[in-house]
Amino acid sequence: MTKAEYMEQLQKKLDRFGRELKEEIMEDYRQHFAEGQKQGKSDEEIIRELGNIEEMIRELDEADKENAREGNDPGQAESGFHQYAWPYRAVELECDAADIELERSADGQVSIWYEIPGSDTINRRLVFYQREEGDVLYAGIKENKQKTKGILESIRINKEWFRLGNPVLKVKLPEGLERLSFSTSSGDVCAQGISVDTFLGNTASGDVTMKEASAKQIQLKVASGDLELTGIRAVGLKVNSASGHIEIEDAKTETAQVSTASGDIEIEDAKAQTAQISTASGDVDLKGISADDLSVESASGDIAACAEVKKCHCGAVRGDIDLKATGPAEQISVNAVRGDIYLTLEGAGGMKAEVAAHYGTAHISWAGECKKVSAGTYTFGDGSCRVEASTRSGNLEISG
Amino acid sequence: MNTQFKKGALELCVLSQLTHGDKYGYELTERILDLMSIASGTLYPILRKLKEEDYVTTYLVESESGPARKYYRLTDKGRQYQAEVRKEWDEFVDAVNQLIKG
Repeated sequence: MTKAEYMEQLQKKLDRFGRELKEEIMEDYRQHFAEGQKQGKSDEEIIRELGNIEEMIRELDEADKENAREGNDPGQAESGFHQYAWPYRAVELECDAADIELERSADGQVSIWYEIPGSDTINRRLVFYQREEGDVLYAGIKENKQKTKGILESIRINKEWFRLGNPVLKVKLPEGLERLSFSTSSGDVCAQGISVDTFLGNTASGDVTMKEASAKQIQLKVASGDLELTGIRAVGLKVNSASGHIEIEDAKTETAQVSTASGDIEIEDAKAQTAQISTASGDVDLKGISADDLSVESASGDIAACAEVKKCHCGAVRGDIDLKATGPAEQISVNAVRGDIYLTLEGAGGMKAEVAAHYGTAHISWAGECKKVSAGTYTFGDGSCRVEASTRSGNLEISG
Repeated sequence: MNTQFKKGALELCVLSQLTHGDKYGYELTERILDLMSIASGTLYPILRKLKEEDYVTTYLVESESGPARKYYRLTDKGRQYQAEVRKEWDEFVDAVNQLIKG
């Protein structure tokens, strides 16, 4: 290809751009040729150096796209305050890396406050929104990923967020919403004094803290964040975490389902009709529990529970089980595979116990008298509580 | 290679070259082409963009032979930006190097 042919191609391919841009690039190339020739290079060599015109055009296209995006900005994020007149049926909040703070509103209105501590670099990459659809109010802070240019910029944004703290979406809500839902990726959520019919939440790595919440249904799900719940009044409570810890204190519900894969579960001072608690590899620690029907499962963690129960089941594979049942228990089953079992009955008038420790030893003490037993069924006192306890390779101790 | 990444790196190369003094287009592209196999032509849109973002300014200098040379000069804003990006780059490369070693 000759220089003339190359320049002609260039001119054609630049046609679709503005005249000023076209002229500038053409001039850059003309200069490049002139300088190359001065160095004694042949036109062919210079053409090879300048390279594929298409490649250069792609570069221009990208710069164009970036400009277009900046031009059509849906609204720059900045700290701001918005208030909405009640009533809404539902409020849905969504944030990526931003935190959410929920509080009860004193004046019956929904108010939304955006707090963005970041610099301009971050702010122009955040989009915040609030919109109504029917009687649902949506609000959130999201990162505009399209506007984040390349790895270097991602690194910069993350570092800055780390330094300055997350942006925060603060929302005040009146009582009586039918539904409140939130979701974040890494943002933490903190809710205080919220009262709604249905409370739904999920986060990926963000923590959830909830204080004094009342709802018919509360459902929370986190992947790696921790959950801390205090002062919960609900009909149904369902809490799930993959690898985070769950802590619950002062809760009253009809049904409770609490589960984690690898996190620990700690519950203190809680009342439920039915409660199901399970973890795969975490420990379970229950104190001051009152439940008609309590079920606790752990695969490789330990279970320690002090609970007033009518009916209770504890199962562990590798971990130990330490259950202290207070109140007039009616039916208790405790099963371990490799772990030890310690069962204390306080408040039952007697028990009819079916025990089996296949490879370990089994002891039962009743009214201060302890004896070693082999597998079988034994009755003490009025025999009112049916106990079924077994471990494969652990030891077994029952006392009452 | 990820084009975004490459572009970020090229931007940094161009800006860094200009911290040592003003340069004209050909000078810049030659220096980069010495060490990298890229199409020199792609550097012109990058230079144009840096100018639009006020990281560089340009001025013409008549030369004895041929057309006037367009020189690029780093602005204060560009200098600051270069320092920031360079710091990030260094940290990033350090991290990658450490991870490569195991």
